[in-house]
Order: sequence, then C-alpha cells, then structure tokens
Amino acid sequence: MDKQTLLDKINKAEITPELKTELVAMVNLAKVVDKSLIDSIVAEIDAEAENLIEEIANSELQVETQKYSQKMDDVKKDVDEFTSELNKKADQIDLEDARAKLK
Amino acid sequence: MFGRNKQENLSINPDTRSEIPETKAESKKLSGSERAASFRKSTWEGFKGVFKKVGDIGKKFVGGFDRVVGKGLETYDTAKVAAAKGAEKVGAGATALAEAPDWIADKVGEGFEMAGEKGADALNATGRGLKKTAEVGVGLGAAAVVGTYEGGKYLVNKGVEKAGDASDAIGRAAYKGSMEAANWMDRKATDGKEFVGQQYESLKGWAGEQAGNIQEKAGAARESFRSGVEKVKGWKNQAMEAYHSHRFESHFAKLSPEAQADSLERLKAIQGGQNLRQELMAA
Repeated sequence: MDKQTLLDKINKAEITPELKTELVAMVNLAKVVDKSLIDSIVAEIDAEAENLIEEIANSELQVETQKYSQKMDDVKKDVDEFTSELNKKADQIDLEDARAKLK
Repeated sequence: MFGRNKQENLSINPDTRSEIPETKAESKKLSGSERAASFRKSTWEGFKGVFKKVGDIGKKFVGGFDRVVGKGLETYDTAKVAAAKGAEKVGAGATALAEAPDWIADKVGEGFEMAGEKGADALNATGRGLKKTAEVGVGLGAAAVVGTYEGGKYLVNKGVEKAGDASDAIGRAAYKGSMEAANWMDRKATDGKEFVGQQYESLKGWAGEQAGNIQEKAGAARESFRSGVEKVKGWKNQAMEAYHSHRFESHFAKLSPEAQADSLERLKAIQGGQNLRQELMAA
C-alpha cells in the first residue's frame, strides 16, 4: 500500500477531524508505508476510540447526574413543604396554648 | 310594766276584803238583823270566793305573763346573741369584702403576669423553632447544592468517588436535618406543660413520619445515583473489549436513550475508526 492509497483511506474514513489530521500528518512524515506505520496508525485509532468511549461514559454519567439532581430538587421541595407545614403547626399549638392560659 | 301594776291591784283586794266580815260581825249584837248579817256574811263569803277566783286567775295570768315575758326575754337574749353573732359574721363578711378587691386585683395581676410570661415563652419557643427549622432547611439546601456541584465537578475531573461522597453527604444531611427536627420536637414536648406536651408529641409523630419519608426519598435517590454510576463504570470497562470484537454498537445500545442521542457522532467516529483499522490490518 502506498502513501496516497493510505491517505485516501484515511480521508474517506468517518473518523473525527482531529484524528484525521493526526493520521495524515503521521503518513506524511513517514518515508514509507510499512508495518510500523500501520501499527502506529492503529494505535492512534484505538487511543481515539478509548477517548470517545470515555466521553460517551461521561455523557451517561451526565444523564445519571441530571436525574439525581432532579430527584434532589424534589427532596428539597419536600423539605420546604415539610418545614413550612411544621412551622404552621407549631405556631398553631403555641397560639392555642397561649389562648388557653389567658382564659 | 302594765301587767305588774295590774298584779298588785288584784293581790291587794282579797286581803283587804278579808278584814271586812269581822268588822261587820260586831253588828251581830244588833237586834233583828242576824239574818241580814248572815246574808251579808254569806254574800261576802261569796264575794270572797269570787275574789279568790279572780285572784287565782290573776295569779295564773301573772304567772303566764311572767312566763311569756321570761320567754320573751329569753327569746330576746337569744335573738340578741344571734344578732351579735350575725353582726360578727356580717362584720367578717364586710372585712372580707373590703379585702376582696385587693385579692382580686392581686389574682388578676398574677394572671396577667403569668400570661405575659407564658406568652413570652410561647413566642421564644416559636422563634427557636422557626430558627431551627430554617437552619435545617438551609443546611439541607446547601448540602444539596454542594452535592450537585460536586457531582458536576466529577464529570470534569472524572472522579467517581467524589460524586458518591457528595451523595452520601446529602443523605447524611437529610438524616441529620430530620433528626434535628425530631430532637427539637422532643425538647419542645419535654419542656412544655401538659397541653403543649401532648400537642407537640402528636406533632413530633407527624414530623418524624414526614422526615422519614424525606430521608427515604433522599436515600432512594442516592442509591439510584450510585447504581447509575456503577452501571457506567461497568459499561466503560467492557467497552474496549466490545470495540475490539466489533460488538460496540450493541454495547452502545445498553446506554440510556439520552446518552445515546448525545453520543451518536462519537458512535459513528468509533465505527469509522473500526472500519479503517480493519482495512489497515487486512492490507
């Protein structure tokens, strides 16, 4: 496989622009297309795949965090309602107590 | 006084009249008048008997009058003693009545003072309760914000444990908040009098139930998040294996719809890399 064929394959591949730029640079720097160059290109593809997998995992974590945040908002709402109701009930008891003692 | 004069008149007449027959008896020596004298004597005896009867009646009357007067005096004395006692009682009553306004004023004063103290206690207790619940609410809110922020920061720094710690912190804050509220209720119930105590015991039960529900909800959210984090860790660990064995697309399908939609371009880039890699390896 010559360098141009290799470059054509890289340019046709549906990979990220960053990886494409990196691989083209590697091929252009190489004197010949040999096993060492192919191994280096494959290693770069694998490293990029690992980065993408990490990003996808982070996206999934983002979803889990949003769900969690939403649930905690619900908890906070419950706490606010609980606090408000608690104060109302406590005020009512103190008011009734004060009235009873004033009779 | 009238009765006593009448008694004297009636007692004198019989005695005085008893002298008369003897004076008249001297005339028995008068000739031709024995029968007349006898007649006068018998008449006098008759009068004497009448006078005696009258005297007896008078004595009885006087005795009766004395008894009546005695009874009257006795009754009068009794009445006088009773009146004196009555007066004494009236006097005591009057004294008591005279003192009553002061006593009532004192009681009213004490009542107002006590009401004032209890009112102040109630206000202070309410104030403390509001402050405490506000602190609990703020603390829980702050913990939730910090936890969410820490969770977001994790995504940047890729520190899974930090999110777990934040999650635990929120759970602890929720638990602490609910426990503080319950303890506050407990103190109110203990400090309060019977009425307040009963009311706050009831409120404590309600608050405990509510706090328990909230804590349970926060705990469920925390567990759900932990489970989600573990799921992502498991997915990530198997992802490279799926990539090398060309099963990444099916592995990608295990993600949530939201994450899949967000990562479609990345999926295409991975598949493009796989295809290029395969071509290069085959060549």
